[in-house]
Amino acid sequence: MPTKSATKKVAKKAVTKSAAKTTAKKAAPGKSAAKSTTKSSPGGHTPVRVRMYRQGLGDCFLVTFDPGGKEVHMLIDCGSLGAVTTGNKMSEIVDHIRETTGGHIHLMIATHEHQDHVSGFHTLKKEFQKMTVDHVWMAWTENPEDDLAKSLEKYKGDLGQAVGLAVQRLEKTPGEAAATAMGAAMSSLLEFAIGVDGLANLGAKAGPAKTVDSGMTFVRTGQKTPKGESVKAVYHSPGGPALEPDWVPGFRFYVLGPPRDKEKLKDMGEHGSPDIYGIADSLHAGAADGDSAPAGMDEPNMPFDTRFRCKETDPRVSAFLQGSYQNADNAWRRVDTEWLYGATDLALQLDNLTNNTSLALAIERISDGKVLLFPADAQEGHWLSWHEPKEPFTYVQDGTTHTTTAEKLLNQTVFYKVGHHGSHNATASRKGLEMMTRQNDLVAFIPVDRQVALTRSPKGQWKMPANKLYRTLLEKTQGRVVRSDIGWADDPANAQTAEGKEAEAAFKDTATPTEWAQWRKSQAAAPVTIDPITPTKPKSLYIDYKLA
Amino acid sequence: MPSAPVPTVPIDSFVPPRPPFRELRGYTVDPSLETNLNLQMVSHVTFRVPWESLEKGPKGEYVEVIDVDPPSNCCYEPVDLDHPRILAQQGLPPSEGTPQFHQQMVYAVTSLTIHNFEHALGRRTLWRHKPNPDRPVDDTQFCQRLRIYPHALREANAYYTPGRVALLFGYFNASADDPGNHMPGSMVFSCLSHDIVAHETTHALLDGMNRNFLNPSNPDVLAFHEAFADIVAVFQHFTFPEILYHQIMATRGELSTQESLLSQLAGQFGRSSGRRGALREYIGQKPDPSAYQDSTNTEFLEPHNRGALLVSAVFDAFLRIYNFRVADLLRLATGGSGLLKPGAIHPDLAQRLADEAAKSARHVLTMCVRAIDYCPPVDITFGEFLRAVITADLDMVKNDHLNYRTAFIQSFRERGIYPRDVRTLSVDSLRWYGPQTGEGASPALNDLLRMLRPAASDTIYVKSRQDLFDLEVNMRREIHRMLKDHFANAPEGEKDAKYLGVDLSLSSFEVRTARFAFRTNPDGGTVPQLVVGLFQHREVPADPDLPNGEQIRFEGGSTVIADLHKDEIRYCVRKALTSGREDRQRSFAMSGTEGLRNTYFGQGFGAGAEAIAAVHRC
Repeated sequence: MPTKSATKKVAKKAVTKSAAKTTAKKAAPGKSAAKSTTKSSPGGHTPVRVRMYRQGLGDCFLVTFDPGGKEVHMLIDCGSLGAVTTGNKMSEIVDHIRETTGGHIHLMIATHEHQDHVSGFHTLKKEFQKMTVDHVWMAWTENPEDDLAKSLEKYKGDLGQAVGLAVQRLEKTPGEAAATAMGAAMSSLLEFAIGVDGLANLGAKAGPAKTVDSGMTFVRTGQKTPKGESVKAVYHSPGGPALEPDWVPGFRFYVLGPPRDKEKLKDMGEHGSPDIYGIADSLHAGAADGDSAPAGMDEPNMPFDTRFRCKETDPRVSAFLQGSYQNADNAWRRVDTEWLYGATDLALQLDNLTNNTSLALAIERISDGKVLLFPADAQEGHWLSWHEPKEPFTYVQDGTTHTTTAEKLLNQTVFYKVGHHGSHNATASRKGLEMMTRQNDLVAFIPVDRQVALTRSPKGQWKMPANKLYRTLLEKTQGRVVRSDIGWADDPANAQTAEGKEAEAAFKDTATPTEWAQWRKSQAAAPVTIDPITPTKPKSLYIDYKLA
Repeated sequence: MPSAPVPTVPIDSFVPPRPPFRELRGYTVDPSLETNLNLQMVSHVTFRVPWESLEKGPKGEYVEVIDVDPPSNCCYEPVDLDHPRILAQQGLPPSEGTPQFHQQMVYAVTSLTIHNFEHALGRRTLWRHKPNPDRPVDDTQFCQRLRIYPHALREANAYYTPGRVALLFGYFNASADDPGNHMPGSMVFSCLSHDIVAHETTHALLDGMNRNFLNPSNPDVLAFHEAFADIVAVFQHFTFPEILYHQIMATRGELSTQESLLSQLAGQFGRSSGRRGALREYIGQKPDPSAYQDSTNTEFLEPHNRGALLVSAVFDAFLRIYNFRVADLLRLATGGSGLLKPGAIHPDLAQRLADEAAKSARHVLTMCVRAIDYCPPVDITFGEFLRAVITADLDMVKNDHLNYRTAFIQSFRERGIYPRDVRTLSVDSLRWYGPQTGEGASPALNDLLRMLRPAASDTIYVKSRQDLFDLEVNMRREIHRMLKDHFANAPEGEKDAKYLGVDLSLSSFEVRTARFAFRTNPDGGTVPQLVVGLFQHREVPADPDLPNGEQIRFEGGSTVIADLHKDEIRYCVRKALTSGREDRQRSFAMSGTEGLRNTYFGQGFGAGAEAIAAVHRC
């Protein structure tokens, strides 16, 4: 959307120079790991706690290094499309973050520009402004100075605009059930990118509102250090030396993605459709003409010159059409909205592309090599790119540089933040989950609200979590799968409410009662704590994983 | 085609004879050839389509063109091909900027394709039935005309939609990255590509014959639909003498070179959309026999690429046949050596080579089209198509002295395409099961065939396509009644059901198709055949671990081919509901459920709802 990117450019300007400098610093690996002085757990390891907030369909993770000791807080995303199962409000979550961190976040990360990851930064901006931040990390795709990022931004804008036009067009076709359903499904998808306000303003001259963009901009440019200085966002590219910031002693951060490769970012996997950028242009032209068709409007985009184009009422065609196209007996053969169906592909491409700009991190505890994996919403093409980085992953140990691979990091993963709310296309199998081989202590957290997902258009279709992946995760983790909506993954037979039963119905055959019983045992032994509900505190706000 | 009512004229006034053809000008391949100096002279062709009386549109017996353009919110005046000015100049001159010419072009190419198809098949074309929204299983309503919308989409796409029994063509701006012969950003119309129109028409023709070919139960099914449509489009070029002669001259008779225009399909569309280049890549390439069989090779699981494999096999068979047929000519022209001197070839030789190429192409196309009747009713694989080709040809041509069948077998084998269940790759073992392989129906069942003779003779004299359609519907009812009674009451019933691949433990079976074919073989005799498609299905869980989860339709059935002269079932092509097939179909169904589209929209929603639209979207 032209208006959108224009505003962003201005907003981004302020930080760009210093941001670029900070990025360069990354090349110098930290040297503080060895001189770590923090309080260690009995095994001599620095503990870390991952807190998944239960704010609905969206991501909000607070990772605290050395909890109870010299605490370092890292906030990854703060967004939601709504919370039905837990009923938690975003403001309660943000209040809790402030209490936990004492109003000071060491590292703030916005993984990618989607409503379900950044909405809180917009709607609760005022609350966040009461907190201070030391560092802001983002993916290179958010860097306003980066040429490839700029071209992606433009591409996303065009896609979004085309989808918006298609949605409007479909809404204007009354009485056709299929067209209405299609429009609803596309606007559900578009909401990720532009938010509810954006959808409400689709037709507005000024372009859609910028909830999501504004949340992102706030993270990028609106953060202040305790000294009151503006925080410069650092933009990360995949591969190369691991980050070892001296303010998080004992840990390494590997940037896995997004890949610096337009094709990989656009890759829809083997079931996707190829590039259809052309439709976006055409949609624009077609929609413009459909509204008013002033003479000469976008003329080169019209297939024939004005001599040939007639309205249906034109005497040159009206009799012919009445006898054929408009004939009531032949209504089943009309094609008024067929051309808009192509736009569903655009909506999917937009969603896929933005998901693929996710900043994906593997956090390694140096002392024992255990890995916490945060891939945000990376889609399959993104995952695959980890295995062929342009620059190999390296780290420095005892003064020498070593090389490592995504496979080794996956082998060592003990905590997996499941990508894209458990949808099937956001956890690679062979080059992803299959490589997470620590079956005896692997834990998977799925930030999801299934009841919310099922109410989206088309109703009951959104597969979050996807049944097959859910099952595989349960097998891989021996049942240690935690969902932000219901807590521990459980036999659907145990669902408490009618709504819950309905939402879980699809998982009826996911496992046998024996399997569930076995899994409950390993769940009980896992280092996971669910914020308890007590008579004085009726809400459970978070679920913790602790790596001692 | 039915003749137009002849106007009443005084008995002695002169009535000019009905013209056999309507001549209509059009693009040989697509408009891009016009701006290519080497090809400009063959960029136009005059199509000769069977004469029929037409209304505006054009609207004829088989098709109606309706030129509404919803994406640009307008419509275009329908062309009147009977206008004296149009009749006097063999149709409107080719023009990208005149929608009326576009209408003429789609009419001409669809009519030609239908004509060629009917010629090969020996019977009249029936489209898919008209859908009945109140009873989706009802397939007894006749749909006379295929609808053609030349400007219905604004994307690099064109497809056949079974739900509307219509062809939809798109137009789009040539992509700026690789515009081919076009000005970047200029309009490209898919309806002006001969190959695309022929391709989509073939989808409709094939679907009219067997609608189960659109149920993707294994990777070959949709690929087969694509490949077959390409085969018809490719070989239709060989019916244009102008371009054939030109290309023979240009390639000195070497049709196998990749530069040959005839081996290319839809150049304009391919370049501008970045798709459809597949075929060009495979023709003339050394085939890799493991590519087809490797079920993990995603490149060859994609329907277009997989289909291109089949097209290249058929094209290769054609080249073998052509080379075999012209070997003596080349020896004659070269004093016995068979090696041509460098430089241009003699025009007489070019003419003779062109004749041979046209003949070979016609034979190959006929073999392929005829094989459709011999294909299993569901779940087709390329290997089974090969068996169908061989069996159909064996029935028609006793003496294969030009080695057509061997050429097919060799070309398919080199690409790793052969059926799962034959011991050797020979003509004999590829022939479908029948009495000659020691299995057959009981004499009682064969005797029942005699009862169908009156219906068979009725089809010869049937007046309209509507009557033919109704006759087939009645015949299906009749055969169903007969078989049901036979299975239940005859002593041989159970054995015969097994032979026909009908699972009596299921509550019902369906007679999907029943039609007669009267084919003339090269010896001049007629072979009256009855072709019956039996069909059964049951619901099974998509994932065996989730018995109450998503269900898929597991389909089976058989194609029964009977000789009405001898009252004998000659072949029964079975696809029984076996557990092995069920597992294969299931794992195939599961493999398609992982995309982002499925995450948000589920199965069968939007553009993915119709298999062909989804495959074609690009």
